[in-house]
Amino acid sequence: MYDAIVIGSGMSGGIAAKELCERGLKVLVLERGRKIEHVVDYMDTQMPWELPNNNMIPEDELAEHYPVQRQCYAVNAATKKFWVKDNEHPYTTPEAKPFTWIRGYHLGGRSIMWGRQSYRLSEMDFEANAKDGHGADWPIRYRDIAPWYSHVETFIGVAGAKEGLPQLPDGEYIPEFALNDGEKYFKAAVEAKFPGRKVISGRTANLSKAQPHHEELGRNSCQNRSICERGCSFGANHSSLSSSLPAAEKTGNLTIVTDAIVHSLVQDPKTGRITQVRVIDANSKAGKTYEARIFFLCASAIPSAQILLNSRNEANPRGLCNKSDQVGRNLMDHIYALTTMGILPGAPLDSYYRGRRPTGIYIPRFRNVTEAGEGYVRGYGFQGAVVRTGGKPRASDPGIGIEIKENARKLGPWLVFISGFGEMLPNPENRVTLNDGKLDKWGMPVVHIECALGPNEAQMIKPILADGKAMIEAAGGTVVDQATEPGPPGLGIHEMGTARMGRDPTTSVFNGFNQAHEAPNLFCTDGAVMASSGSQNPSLTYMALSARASDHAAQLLKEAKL
Amino acid sequence: MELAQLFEMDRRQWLARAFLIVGVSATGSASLSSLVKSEGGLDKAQFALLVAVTDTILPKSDTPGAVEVGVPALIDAMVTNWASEHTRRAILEALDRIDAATRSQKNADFAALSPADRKSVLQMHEAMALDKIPRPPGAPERAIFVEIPYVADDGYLKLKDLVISLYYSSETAMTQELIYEHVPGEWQPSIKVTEATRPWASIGPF
Repeated sequence: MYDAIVIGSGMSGGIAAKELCERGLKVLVLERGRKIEHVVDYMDTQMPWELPNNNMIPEDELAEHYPVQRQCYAVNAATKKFWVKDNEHPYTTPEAKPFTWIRGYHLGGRSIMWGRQSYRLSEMDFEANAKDGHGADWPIRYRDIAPWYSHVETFIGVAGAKEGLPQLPDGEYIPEFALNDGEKYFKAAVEAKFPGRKVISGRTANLSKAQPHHEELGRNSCQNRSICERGCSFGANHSSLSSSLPAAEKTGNLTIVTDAIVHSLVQDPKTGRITQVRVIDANSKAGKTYEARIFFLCASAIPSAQILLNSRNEANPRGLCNKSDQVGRNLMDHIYALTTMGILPGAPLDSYYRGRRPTGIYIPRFRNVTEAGEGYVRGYGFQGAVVRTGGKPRASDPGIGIEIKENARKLGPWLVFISGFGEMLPNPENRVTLNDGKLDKWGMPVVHIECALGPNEAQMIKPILADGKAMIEAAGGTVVDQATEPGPPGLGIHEMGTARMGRDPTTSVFNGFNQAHEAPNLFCTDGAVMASSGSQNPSLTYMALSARASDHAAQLLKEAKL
Repeated sequence: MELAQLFEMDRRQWLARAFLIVGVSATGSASLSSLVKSEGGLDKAQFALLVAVTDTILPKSDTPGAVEVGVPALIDAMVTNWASEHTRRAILEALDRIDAATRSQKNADFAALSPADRKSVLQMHEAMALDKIPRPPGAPERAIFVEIPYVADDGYLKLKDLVISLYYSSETAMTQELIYEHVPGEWQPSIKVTEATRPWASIGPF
């Protein structure tokens, strides 16, 4: 019998485990994937010329095992072991509605390969559903979560600068990764032409300067290698392996079981309490149960919904905690991949930079904040960078011989690229269900994912592209390329919303402290609980919710209220 | 040195490096060569042509060329260990077309031509090979952010891309043609460009 069982060891589960352990609870973390070890299992020390097949995965292997995963920018030979084989972990989608589900099943989950951009949601994000009527009202407001953002930012280390923007609240930052001169030039031009817009350094969970509490965990300052997704042997980016699980382990209260696939939760029909979690051993397929006083679902948005749905029984044929019928619904991602690229002839040609900074620039949302958005609610931010061209030639450019070597040695002009990340509204028809017609190799129904961009999202596509172009042109630039089609849902790798928080048990699954309306000792703190998506990268919010709910649950236990 | 000599002298050394890169442990020269020969590695004539084409695309200058850093052997190994049947065939057919073009124009082996003749033949060939064609129906426009070029001879584009990519990820090119630091340390957002400045050999700043 444990005090707490945390299901999932990724971004959310790592923080939940740490916070619960630090409050004296005996915690069991269940991870469906295999055990991997910090440093030992990383391929970040190999030089580029030492990587197999020039860091490419063999084409037949990609086609057979990674037809979905390969769409993610971070999939290569050096990171291959961190992505699931799609054919071993199938899911279904309707014919004409692809959903790109990017996953990593191993200890630490996607916290190993995540993009590290760390932004707070703002008061306007938490109020948005109530104000424009989409989705269900968030049960919390910014002030409820603000101290927990601070708590998590301090622990994980977020490089950034305070900007005083209402739509992107400031946090607790270590020094930012400064803009290069091309970016400063772009910033000045954009902010002069559009007073309501800001170009800032991307806030990122990389230790620009490791603080003593980071060093105590064996973490070091960032070396500006920008191969973070291989796992960082310096421990310079926050991951469950570098940061949260070691902190949990230090308490002596942590037990981790890997290769433990959660099948379902068992609820006591009289008390409503969850009593057990049923687990299947990934290798032997043997069944096992674990008991605890409280349970934290941190399996990530889609699997957390899947576990609730698969916990169905005669009394709850729709799954546990699903009287609201909201489990599996309102799946969201961000509008992704709409990118504009341009050359900036006016940016300073006598300037360069040194190092591969693990972040870029960020342009916080301005539509429906400082400037109107025509025909849509909510808005979008941009991520990107301004880089100096030159180096390796492109094969598709004509030319052979010594000339292409000579050209490659020359520094070219500055190239800017900015990519929109748009808010996706909660829509109950964007939905995860169980596909009883197709079982995985452990005998569980696979998930069926039905998700598409809606009319509000469609209305943002042209403005994202037009704003991208206008900002580049404001800096005297010429647009050279534009990706005009949004990526399939899922490719933003920000899936969320499938078991939302809310005040009303008839329209939501978890309450304002991430506690299930229908099971007092069950908490969920991953992306599933998001009542809206904002346009900001969401991991920081999952971690802040995890810390806040852990504190609350531990308090309830202490007061014997659970 | 004649290309043929380069080819004979260094092939064993290239193979050793190629197998280091593709992650095959060397258990003896017999098994090494049989691995290269299995499932579509290049035969001797194709390999000789590949060496000549590689050398023509990225020749030696004040720095070693692509042949000197072992690119042909790496391609040979990747044709076996990385390429799909479709890609393998496309690359081999692209080589065949270069061979055929040379024979019809010069009535000779590509590898037997002078460097100047090789360059002019390949330049002419490339102009046709890289001619843009309309995107085939149903083919993707881009791979996430990067536009996919559609050209007359996709095999030639793949081959040239491998030559360039493997060269510019070789230790020689990354440290002599360009500059590479695996562990840069501190981020310096602004440094002055001087006569000696070269581009970083990897996408910066991230």
